[in-house]
Amino acid sequence: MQEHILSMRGITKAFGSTVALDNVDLNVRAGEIHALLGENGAGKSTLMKILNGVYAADKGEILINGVPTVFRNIREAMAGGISFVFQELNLVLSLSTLENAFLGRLKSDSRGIIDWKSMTAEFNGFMKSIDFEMDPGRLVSELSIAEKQMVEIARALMLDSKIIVMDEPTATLSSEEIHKLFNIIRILKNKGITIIYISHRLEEIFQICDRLTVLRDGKNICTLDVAETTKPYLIEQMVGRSMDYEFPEREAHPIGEPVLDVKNLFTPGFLQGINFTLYRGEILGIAGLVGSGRSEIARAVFGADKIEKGDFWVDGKKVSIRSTMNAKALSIGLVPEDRKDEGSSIELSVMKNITITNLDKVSRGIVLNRRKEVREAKRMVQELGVKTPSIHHRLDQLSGGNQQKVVLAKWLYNDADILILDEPTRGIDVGAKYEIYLLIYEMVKRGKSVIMISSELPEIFALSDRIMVMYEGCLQTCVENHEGLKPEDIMGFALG
Amino acid sequence: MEVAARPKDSIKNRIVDILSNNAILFLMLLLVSVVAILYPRFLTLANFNNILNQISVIGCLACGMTFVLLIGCIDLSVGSMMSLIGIMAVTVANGGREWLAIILPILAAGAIGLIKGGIIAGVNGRLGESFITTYGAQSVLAALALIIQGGLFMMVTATGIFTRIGKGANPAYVFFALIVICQFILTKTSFGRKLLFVGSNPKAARLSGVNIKFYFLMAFMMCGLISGIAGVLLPSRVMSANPTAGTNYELEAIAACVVGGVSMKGGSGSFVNTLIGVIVIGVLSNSMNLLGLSSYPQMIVKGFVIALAFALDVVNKRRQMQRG
Repeated sequence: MQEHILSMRGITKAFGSTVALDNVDLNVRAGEIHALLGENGAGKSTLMKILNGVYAADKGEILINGVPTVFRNIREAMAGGISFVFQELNLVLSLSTLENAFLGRLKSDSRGIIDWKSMTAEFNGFMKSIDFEMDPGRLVSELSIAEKQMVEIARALMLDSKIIVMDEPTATLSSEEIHKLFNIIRILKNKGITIIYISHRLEEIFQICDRLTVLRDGKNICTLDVAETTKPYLIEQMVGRSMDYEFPEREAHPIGEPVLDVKNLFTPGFLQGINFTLYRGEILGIAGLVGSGRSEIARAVFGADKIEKGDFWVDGKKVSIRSTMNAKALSIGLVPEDRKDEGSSIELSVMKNITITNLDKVSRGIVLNRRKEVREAKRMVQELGVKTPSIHHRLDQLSGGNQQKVVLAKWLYNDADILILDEPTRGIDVGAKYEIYLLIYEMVKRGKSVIMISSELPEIFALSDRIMVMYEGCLQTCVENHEGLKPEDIMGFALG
Repeated sequence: MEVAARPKDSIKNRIVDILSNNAILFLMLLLVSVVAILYPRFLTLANFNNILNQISVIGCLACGMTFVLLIGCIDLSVGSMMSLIGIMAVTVANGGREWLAIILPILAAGAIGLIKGGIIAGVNGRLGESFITTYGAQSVLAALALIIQGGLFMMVTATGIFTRIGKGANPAYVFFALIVICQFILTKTSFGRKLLFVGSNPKAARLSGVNIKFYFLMAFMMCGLISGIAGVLLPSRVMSANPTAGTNYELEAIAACVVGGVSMKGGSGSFVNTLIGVIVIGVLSNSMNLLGLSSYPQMIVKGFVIALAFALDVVNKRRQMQRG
């Protein structure tokens, strides 16, 4: 049996009443590239955060080279030879590449003066060894995302790390940059460095990984050699059932008169004359790449961003939407892209997050009627099937899917007729996704209209009645979603 | 997502929880016991009245500050505003219009609060912006007070209602009434709920259709009004006003709030926290007075207590996060 450089055994971790990890094992051999796979919410990130000490495990042990180890923070982990390259990069934008590469351990000579020369030499030497060119003097804020990642990797390696954890390193890279990154990963492997590689892109796993571990709903599913498996098999392991049931079956729902008309919508430096109509009972999907202007449409229609010009009609009446208060009064609701930062206040209770859109409904004058508020919040929680120990629990004690349901609930509570959902299923697990889809259907059946923005084309295809495609602030096309429509067609428009 | 029963907290964990969540109260109890044993005089009615008198004005100020902290801002100008308001009140009172001397300065303080709030709402500011804005306001108001009064003491020569509001236990009644009213506003009204929500996450509040600028304005106006009340109480109690009477009071008020558990990040805390903080600091000062500590060592002790309260809060939050 080969030696395990890292062995996490029986790791269990609960957040509130939600078990994020249940008796999970991860065994990584020295010098391999080990993929950690699983849907969002499967527990990959939590497992890694236990490794680097951000969270403490409730149960279980971590062995490094067979020695039980507990890191209390990321600094200790790095000192112990494990480095992390996270999605959200930990770089200081206002400092140079060199300063970032040596962050926290700047070298100085005997007089205590910083020794730029030897650091530059070390940095250049290292970059040469991985065959990558980089100017140590450039500010990190000027670098591309791939280059920023290289700075992080350089920092990790110059610390003499034996294990590098990469969390979705390719999520924001172009295919050329990915190619470069893979070359570097291979060089690292030849140097005997162990890599734990987290990614959603299965092709990548087959390209560079040796072995893999699949997690699902916080449990170990399997650990396999990459060479012995296939992509369909992996998908099945990840989602726990065959993919046919990823979406609920489409049901016919009547589509009525126009409820929202947007004419000639311009925003400063972004949207270029958008026109579209939303009908009662319709699901209108908006596809396009990140940064193509999808979210900007949502925010402009909701009055969250300033518009340059543009006219809105709601239920056939010309209206002015200059603020989120206007939009709310017109019975429009927005579920924003970033659930934690913009959709809710995660430090407040489920109830407070739901009733915020319409406190008048549960007040007499300005005084809140607590009993009524509790009743209303309970009703919404029940209606949407939010799994929470009580309505008084803080939102951050709920899973992502349930948090998202609460954000939806606050608009249903205000009885919004037009719901704009920006990436409604981002970062939530398959089961919860399915429930969100059911809720969207339920809403349109009740005569509400939905605009759904999504980066996941299958989702757009499965749910939308019509599909709009955005590219660089322009509306490329708007088509009926019929049997013959192919994802390639939509991608064609999305790429300009 | 599966929901399973969470492993029960161990008894040790629970005890640590109770101790650390109420550390400040326990520390105070300890202090009270020690001082009470050494100085039986500490536990007399007269001494309690004494403590109440000492904390009431600062307490009012802390009460106003709580609104601003809850919305995630800070107001460094309330001390100098108090000085200015005091001079204004005494001037009007000595002129014989004593009711006006109570009401006018309070309204003026509210108006000054509105201006500060307007600037901060205008730039979508939070802690940093409000720090700078109100630091500037502090400088302006302090200078105004000195210019108007020429740096001199000003005796209260009025004899009517103005001199009575600051007498005896009246400031304490005002303080407790303010705590009760403000706590009611915060927890039982839609206004209070929205204010808390804006403080907790202004972006999410805005995207829930809440007029966040209004709540920034209102938080500063409430703070202004209540500082105005403190500004009227003080000269009435000490029967004089001077242009530096309120110097550093803002820091004492902030310290009381934070010691009591109001978060500087906004959206967390209540007026009960403020009440606790004000009492803790009041009892601490009183105990040190009884122990015969002079005022400079007292400042050192107070400083450490404030830092300790803050550190405990941070440690607690981190521990809770790690355990999930």
